[in-house]
Amino acid sequence: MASQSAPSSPALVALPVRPAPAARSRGWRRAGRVAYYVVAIALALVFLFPFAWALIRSLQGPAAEGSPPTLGSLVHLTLQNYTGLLGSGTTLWHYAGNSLIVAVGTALLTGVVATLAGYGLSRLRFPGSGIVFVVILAPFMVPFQAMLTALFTVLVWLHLNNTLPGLIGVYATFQLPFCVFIMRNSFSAVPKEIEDAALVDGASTGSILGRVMIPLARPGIVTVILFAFVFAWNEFLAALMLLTSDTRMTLPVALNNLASAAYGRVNFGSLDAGAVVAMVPCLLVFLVLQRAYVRGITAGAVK
Amino acid sequence: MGRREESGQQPGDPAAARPAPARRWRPRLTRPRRSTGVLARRRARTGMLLTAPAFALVAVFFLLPLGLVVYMSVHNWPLFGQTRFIGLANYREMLHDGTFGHSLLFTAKYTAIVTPVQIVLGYLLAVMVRRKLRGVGFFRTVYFMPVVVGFAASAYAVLVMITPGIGVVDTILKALGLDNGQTNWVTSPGLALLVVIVLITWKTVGIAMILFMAGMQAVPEELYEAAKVDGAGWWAREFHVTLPLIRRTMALVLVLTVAGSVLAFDQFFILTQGGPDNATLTAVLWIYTTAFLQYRFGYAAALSIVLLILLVILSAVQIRALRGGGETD
Repeated sequence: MASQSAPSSPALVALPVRPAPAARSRGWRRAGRVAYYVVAIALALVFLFPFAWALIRSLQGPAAEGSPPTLGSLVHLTLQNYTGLLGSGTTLWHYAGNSLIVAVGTALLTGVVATLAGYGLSRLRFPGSGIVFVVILAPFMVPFQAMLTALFTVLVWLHLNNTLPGLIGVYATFQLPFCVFIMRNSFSAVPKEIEDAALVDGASTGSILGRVMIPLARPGIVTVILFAFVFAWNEFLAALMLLTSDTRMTLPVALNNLASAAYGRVNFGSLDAGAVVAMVPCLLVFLVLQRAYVRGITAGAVK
Repeated sequence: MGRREESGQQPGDPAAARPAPARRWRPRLTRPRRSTGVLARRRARTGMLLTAPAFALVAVFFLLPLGLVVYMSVHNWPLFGQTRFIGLANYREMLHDGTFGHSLLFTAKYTAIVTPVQIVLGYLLAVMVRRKLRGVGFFRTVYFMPVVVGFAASAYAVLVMITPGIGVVDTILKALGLDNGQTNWVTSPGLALLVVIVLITWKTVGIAMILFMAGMQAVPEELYEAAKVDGAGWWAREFHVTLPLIRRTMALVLVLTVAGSVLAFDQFFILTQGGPDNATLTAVLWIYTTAFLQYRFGYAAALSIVLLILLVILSAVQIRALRGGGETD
């Protein structure tokens, strides 16, 4: 592989760095670059293959899905798997709709709650705010997987099991540690003087937050909403545990029903169509908001 | 409680938030004390109000279940019918529950395999995408894409790909003469684990890649230049400059991967159901099974407590590793 081809700093240019014959090193460098692209493109194809394959297979009719793929069968495309019914008389789009409600609901709830709490914990210290911060971060230490039965029981008590709002509440709670953390840092990064100036001008806390702080902390808010949305859209275990009636299931749980329909023949085309519909929104959102997403990943890293 | 008093002394004092270089005595001439007090008290009340929704959510959906899981673990708690206090019986039973021990061991084994794979491959991908070359942004995006899709969705896509006889994996292997096209990937423990590890690597290696890349890009360019002048080749620079300087990132990736693997559920539930013969049963999968297939909530709660303690220890190690790594650098 070619060596680091970064421009050297001006002071070092005059120094005799590696007195190798220039022509030979240039040839090697070019060969290295070609090798680099061959490897990188091959890897890209490997990474893309499962997406592409699920898409291609999902577009094939019932005749093709029960037999091994052949080149001939790959060109006959149909939308049947996307328009037909899954399992017990419900369409793929109904489950996708449930997922969308849960994901948007979680994103909004988390966004609002984390923004308010982040601001409160960053700028409006009150007696006990340190303890509150620790409590809000605690779900990060103990994820919900470690209290499944109790979480289920609490939701039954509240009559929130098997409801989408209940699921939204659970998702928002377990996204809060990360999101409050991000928002608190976003607000803390805003220079104190800006807020002081608004305060001197007689602005209320509400208008300082709405007109000054939130616009300045927007990158953090975008990251928080993005993470909450993607998490809620993808989450499987809590939804599997809490949603029991068919019409309320989110897409991943509906796919589980479809795949475990052990008595009938599993409809692989529908399963692929479901997987595609479950993947596409996340991929689109990521491609549009890549920066915010990567910022979230690395922000979690520097804590 | 000491903390409460400490922060209570100067509620909302803006100076408290700023890192004052030294505590020098300053005459309080510019700030009339009483009026700041009123403002500070009002701001403190607003602060409480703003954090209340978050606190309420955490209280209902986290603190309450957290307390309840402890309470349930000392009860016989069927899904329907009377609950009964049984002391530590659930914990005693756990000691003889070979399946739970087995699931913990398998989870540990899975973690021990996945973690080095993630670290090595993540590092190599980061080496590939850290440079400034034409098209490198495209490669970064593509390698990272699986991270954003769901475990469940990707596991179902893989489930179709490995279906014996009709899946693309068998079709390709058969065309290459490597199998007869009928390999059942989930009936052999080794193959089942292999499938899950390939899936997980594809799905999550992008996180390690991005973290390593960020760590590598933070290494000052001058260090590489200096190493070059000293005659260090590519490998020497990698081992003696990059690696030591991204130790912190290394610790982070390690901890993230371990934490993720310990909670593994989706991929095993979907692809292997813990089989064959419980050979790929993870801890969370076993807890889920005792709770929602056998309806033994109390016993599942006792199992959860063990997992919970393991996770808290892990988090403590995580925090220490990240803090400690920063200080020694």
